[in-house]
Amino acid sequence: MSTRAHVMLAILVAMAIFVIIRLVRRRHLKAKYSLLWLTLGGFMVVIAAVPGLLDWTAARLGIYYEPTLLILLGLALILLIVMHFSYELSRMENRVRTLAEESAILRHRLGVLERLAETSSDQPVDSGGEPADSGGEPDPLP
Amino acid sequence: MSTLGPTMKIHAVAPDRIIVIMPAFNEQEALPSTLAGLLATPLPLDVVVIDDGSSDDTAAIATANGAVCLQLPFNLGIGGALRTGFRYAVELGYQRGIQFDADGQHDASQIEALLAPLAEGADMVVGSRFAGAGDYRVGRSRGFAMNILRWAIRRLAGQRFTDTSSGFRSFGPEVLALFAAEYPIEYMDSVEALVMSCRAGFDVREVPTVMHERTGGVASNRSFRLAYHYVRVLVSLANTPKAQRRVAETSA
Repeated sequence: MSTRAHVMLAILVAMAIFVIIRLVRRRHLKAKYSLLWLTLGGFMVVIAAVPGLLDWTAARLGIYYEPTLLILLGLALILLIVMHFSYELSRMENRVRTLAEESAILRHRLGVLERLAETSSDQPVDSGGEPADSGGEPDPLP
Repeated sequence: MSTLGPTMKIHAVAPDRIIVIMPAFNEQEALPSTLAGLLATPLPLDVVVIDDGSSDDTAAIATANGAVCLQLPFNLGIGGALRTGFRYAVELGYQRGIQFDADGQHDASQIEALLAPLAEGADMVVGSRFAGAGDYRVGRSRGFAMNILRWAIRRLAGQRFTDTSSGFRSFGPEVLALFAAEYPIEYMDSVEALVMSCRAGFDVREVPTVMHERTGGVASNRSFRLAYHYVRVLVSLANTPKAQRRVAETSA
């Protein structure tokens, strides 16, 4: 790569790292995700800073067209990150579903309790109204 | 399970009660007659309708017709709705449960036949449309897909079933607990659930039952999506873990 390309790359990487750190500091990005991107950034910094490194590595690996190595590595890292996101998304969906199910059951149970409170006391329930601890079992069916 | 805490006391049900778990998505037309049919039987049935984010009056109609209604905040699909029902059944301590369609496809008079094997030690019973009784028919392509699935299930479950996608089922306490913890959430959940409980080592049986053509609602069988789901279900079936029978979980 030419010196001009290296300078351009260095500037772009520096900007990207700056943005990531800013997002983390403002808590718009969780630290665990930023680590992934910072790793990618750090990797790019090394390539930009040491001009001969990429060419040398490519030659050692038997890759004749050097930029291919860069693209290959970048692609591999991005795939890894995307896979990580799929994993996180699955986990999150599971949690949301469980919460929805739980909320449906709790909503019903709250309704039962409210009806019970209405029928069991003439006066409105004031602070610390204790629940019926035995005997007063509401039939789940109206 | 953490949800089986002190809350159980408030609700505990008599041990002979049977819970009917009925997912419903926009079923206000079919619900009254389905519920009336269930409550007309002499069996000690408690019906819980899981309103899966309906935009019509499903919840109000369910409650007005003698059912308990659990309202999901948004649509989870039939598997999610069913799991909600299983969770509720386990929390309240039901020992037997029935899975029943809201759309009028299933016949309440068949429930006794579905419950009978449970008393003989079965853990789960599937009501089959094809095992002899009734005259339910399906189209050719669907029939073909069902055959492939039946073959895969036979290999995985180590047992032969004639109607793997039937949603007319009964469950004992251990299977209720298994499904409350983990029930397949995507389309064709019934097939996955069947294999799941076979592979968990439960005694799963099949009985012939009469079923009707569905009365309300639209059957979800657009061919594209159906093909996709058949492939997906085969992949996920192949990955169903072969677990040991979980007795410890229900004794908690």
